[in-house]
Amino acid sequence: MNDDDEKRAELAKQAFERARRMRNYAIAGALLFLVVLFFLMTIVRLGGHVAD
Amino acid sequence: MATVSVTAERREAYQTADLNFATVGDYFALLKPRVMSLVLFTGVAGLIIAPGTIHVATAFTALLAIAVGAGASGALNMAYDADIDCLMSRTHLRPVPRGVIPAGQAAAFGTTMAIGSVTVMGLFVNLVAAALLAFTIAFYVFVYTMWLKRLTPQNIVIGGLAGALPPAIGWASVTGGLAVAPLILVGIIFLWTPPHFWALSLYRVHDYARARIPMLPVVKGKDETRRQILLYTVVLIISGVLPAVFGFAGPLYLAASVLIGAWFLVESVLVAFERDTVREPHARRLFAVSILYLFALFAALIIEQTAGIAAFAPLVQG
Repeated sequence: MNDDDEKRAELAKQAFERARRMRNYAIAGALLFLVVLFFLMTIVRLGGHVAD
Repeated sequence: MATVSVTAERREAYQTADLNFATVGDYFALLKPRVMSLVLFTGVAGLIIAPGTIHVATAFTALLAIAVGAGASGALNMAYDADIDCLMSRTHLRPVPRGVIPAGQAAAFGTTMAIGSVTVMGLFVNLVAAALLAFTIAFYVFVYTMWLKRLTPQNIVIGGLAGALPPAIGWASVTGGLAVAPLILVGIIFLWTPPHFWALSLYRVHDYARARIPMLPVVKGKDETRRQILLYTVVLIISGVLPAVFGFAGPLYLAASVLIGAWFLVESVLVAFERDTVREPHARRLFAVSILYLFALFAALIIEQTAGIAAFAPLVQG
């Protein structure tokens, strides 16, 4: 591999890792959002007597 | 050894140097966000005009389920249509034909979202809305995408039912049932779909022909398509005033319906008498005006309801 190839490989690797990191953040965010949504909807469905 | 290891790692990275991997944006594109936004918008209208009350969290959940269901349909459509999407200039940059998301992964993504959206709708909203959402997704994927799209020039006419149902889902989320009003809205979107997509297919005819999709201009020719566009537009514009006739829309809606409907009709006539059959400038404009028409109608319904503008007294009881 010459220098150009190595630079391109490094850039590609960085881009790949960044994309993977962003996908992981998105999955974590979606899961957290669903947890909050399910919790809130359970409270709403149970109504005002949730603490009884 | 260390040098060899680093080089091997870089070589491996170099093999991905064409950036052949999916970003969050690619997964978002898989959901067909523009279609999703229109689906969501018409769903909101159905939810807002429905009589009765709904908790704000339940309304949000219903709309989320509609949006995710629409996204699931888009992902499943792209998974199945990858072989023809790569042949058309309009669709060849989608994530599956581009190769950044495998078709199987797109199908799994879509299936998960479809099951999830229907389950959430059923658990937290009601079973009628969930059943309608499930029917909509199934109709779009199995009836339109897998069956009609490659079979008949009536593909988008019949398949348009899937895109037309969101107002009924929104209505059912509040009431737990259906009525004439949401069915009229479904009918309007159903009649709107053919002139909208046939306008697109007039200036994308070579794309569709290359992919062997039997759109009307490919099978019956452009002249017949122009006639059908005009015919459907006339029926659509007449149907467009029905919400006012049935007493669930007021003056703002009627004005939008008549004025933008007239513009829609003028553009359809111009398409019917198009001279530039290569570039199809009027079909391009008709496509844009058709989006504006549907947006204006449903925006007027939402504004009237939220601003407390009274609807007309019904001329016909629903």
